[in-house]
Amino acid sequence: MLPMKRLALIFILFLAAVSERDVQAQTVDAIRDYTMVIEPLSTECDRVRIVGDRCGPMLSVVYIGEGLSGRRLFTTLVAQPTTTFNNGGSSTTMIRANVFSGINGGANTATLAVADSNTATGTQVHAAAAACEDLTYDGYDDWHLPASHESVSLFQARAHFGAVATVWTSTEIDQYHASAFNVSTKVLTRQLKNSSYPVQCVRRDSASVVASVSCDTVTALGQTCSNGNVVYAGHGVSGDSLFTTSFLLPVATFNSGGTSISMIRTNVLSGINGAANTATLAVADSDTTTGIQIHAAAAACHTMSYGGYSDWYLPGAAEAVTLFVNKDSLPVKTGIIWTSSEVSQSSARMFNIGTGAVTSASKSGYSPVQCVRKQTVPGLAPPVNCGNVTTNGGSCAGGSVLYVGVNDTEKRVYTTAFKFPSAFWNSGNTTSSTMITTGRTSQTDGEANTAALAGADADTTTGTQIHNAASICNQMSVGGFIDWYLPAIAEAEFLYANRAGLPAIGAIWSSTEASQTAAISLTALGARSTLGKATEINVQCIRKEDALPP
Amino acid sequence: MSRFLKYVLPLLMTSALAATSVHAEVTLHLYGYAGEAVDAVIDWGTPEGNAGCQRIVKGSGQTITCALTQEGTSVRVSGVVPQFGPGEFAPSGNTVSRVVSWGSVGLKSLDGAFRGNNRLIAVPITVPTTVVNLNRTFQNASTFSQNLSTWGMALKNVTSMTDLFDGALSQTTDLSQWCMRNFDEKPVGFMGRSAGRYPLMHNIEKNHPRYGECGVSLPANLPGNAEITIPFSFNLKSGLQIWSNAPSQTTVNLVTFDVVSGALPPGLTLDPLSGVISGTPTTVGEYAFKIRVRQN
Repeated sequence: MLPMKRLALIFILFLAAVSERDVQAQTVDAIRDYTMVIEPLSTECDRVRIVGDRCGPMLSVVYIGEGLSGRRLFTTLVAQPTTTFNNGGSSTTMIRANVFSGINGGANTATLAVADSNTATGTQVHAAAAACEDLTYDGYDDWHLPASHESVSLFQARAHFGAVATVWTSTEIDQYHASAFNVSTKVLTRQLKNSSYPVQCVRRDSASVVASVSCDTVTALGQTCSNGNVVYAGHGVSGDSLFTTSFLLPVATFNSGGTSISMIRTNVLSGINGAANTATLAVADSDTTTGIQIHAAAAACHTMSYGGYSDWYLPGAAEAVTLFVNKDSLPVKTGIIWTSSEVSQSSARMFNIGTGAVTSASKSGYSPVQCVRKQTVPGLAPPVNCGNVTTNGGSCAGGSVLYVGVNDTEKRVYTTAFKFPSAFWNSGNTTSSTMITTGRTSQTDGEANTAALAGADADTTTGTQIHNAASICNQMSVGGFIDWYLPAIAEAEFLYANRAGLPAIGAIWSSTEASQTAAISLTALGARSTLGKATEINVQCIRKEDALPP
Repeated sequence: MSRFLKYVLPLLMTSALAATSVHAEVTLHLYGYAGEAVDAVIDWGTPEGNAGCQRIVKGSGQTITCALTQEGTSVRVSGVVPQFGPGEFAPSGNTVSRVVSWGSVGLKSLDGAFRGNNRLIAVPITVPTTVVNLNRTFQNASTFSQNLSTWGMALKNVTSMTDLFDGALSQTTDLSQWCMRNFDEKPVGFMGRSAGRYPLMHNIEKNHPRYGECGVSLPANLPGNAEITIPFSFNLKSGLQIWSNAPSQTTVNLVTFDVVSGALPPGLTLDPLSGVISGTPTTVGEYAFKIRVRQN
């Protein structure tokens, strides 16, 4: 029996080997039945696919791309005749309709079409809006006069229809003026309502646009998603991934265009939290004139639905730094845009994408708008580990954080790989008598200074005015860290002393207060300098953690 | 002697009968299949069984019952057994409670193998790739609940599964990764002939087999409609799904595509490597075709 058992065991092993080879040679395959229907070329506008495609029974309706209200947009092959925004009446008889939306031309048109444009007896139509409202063109009767920003689709598709230079929009500015849009240059201008321009009516598709490529899947800076015109702009400074459009919206005013005397202060001052700023501005009255006057730039982003997303907002002044830092990988590399950060009753902050500089400007000034949105993209979360960086200037957390060195309290100090644009130490208020003494005079404890300043009113003016520089550091989330603060003056000097591996920092604010009206800054040469709190210089946030054990 | 050694230990079954008597009865159906004869030797596992029961089966095959086995006894069958089961017309199949190994007896058919067997507890977690016939294998085995999802890719050569789980009421096997390359549609009675005979997985849609597919799935649909003169493009690869039990070397980079029947609409072509159907349709009409994807 013994020889037979041994032979049997050998045979089992041989069988196993055969079985394994059989699996290795496995083929995978699949067969599936498909049916395709090839149809005659349709004239229905719901079926068009490519910008410039024509539809309608006479093929004279032109698809001009996805609009800013979440629907596909069409226009007429030929513009409607020249007419006035109002009925042609003179300035003295004009009526303010309070139709300000830059996005929702359909609602604007519906309102204007029934609103009296003139104080003369009887109802005088708004001629340009009525021209679209009453239009039946190539089988469609749902036309409207495009709103100011909605008109950007006309600019983008101008090669595909008989575009004329300047056309009316349905966006009013004030009692006497409305916006006209130059289809060739994308410029909005302020025109008297009794001026005459052609009308380029548009209509919207019936179905909402759905993002064809989810922005959850982006992996690289500058990568497009959604409809191909939504771009990943990099890690934002509020912790999420930031997205923007591949184009600037046309110019707009920060407010509705009202003059300084009637402007309203909103106290929307955050440099970091543009989403909250925008939500507040979008419903706040910008002007003491009768009725609600919108904040045009913020409202444009707030009401925009584009690429399948409707969570767009106007970035805060400091938040916009991402658009500058990563501009080389983004389609929009220049432009002075509105931010959602107010300065005062009459001014707000603009951001220069090309230089990273922030300036203040009158709310009634015109500047382009660059809407952004943020979302968490799991694959883009920066690795939160900076403990292994030991070289001055060494980067971590996805490159957004730099190691500075170990300070005299044995803490490892880090800063951001970028500097924030210039900011006020206070909210920008220049009236000394209303400034508030905070008592945050520590020269070494920036962490405590910042925490206190971020929660303190900077000004006795009605409402709460933030301490701008400290709030930027206090609110930001970069590299996965949320413990940033504005350095006290001695900590700023530590930064300067270890500047060898760091990018040029320049003059920066410290969190150390000097008096009711002044705080201490560090010059580009490393010297202390006491400056008025409403001075604008850069902000360089830092954070610290326990040093590694030896 | 040398012939016996050649086929030693190919099929191993364990008898664990419910009877408490010293002796228990086992019925085996050992048959030829598709012209191939059976040539088997049975080791009944007990001296009494081997002395008192038939041990040699040759030719077209036969059904053998041995009443001299014992509870817990292992019965071994060696040689050539093309079909382990009675086929279509017998009311019941083998009465074993476990099959420990299929061995290598050239098994091609399990037709009716465990039909009506309410003792059956377990069979091997895979099945020989030589098997082509699973007709009635578990029909009416109403208490058999073993998960057979691991048989998936080993079924690549099976061509018939009529009434496979008809009346196998306790079955919950996830069949979604069973290789069904030889089936355009559900075999008759595959998951029960009628209400009351359906296995439990009948009502779990996601666990149903994917007919015509083995290790890889094509997109469920193409864009259904296109228009003449409008350029059309669709990438089959982008919707391709590799099954988790596919061979490890399977990758979308190595698959090829072809049209195996019917024809694409005039003007459209299929790139065999990229899997892109593209072109400009030229002729109005409805076009049906089958597309195959495979990796050898």
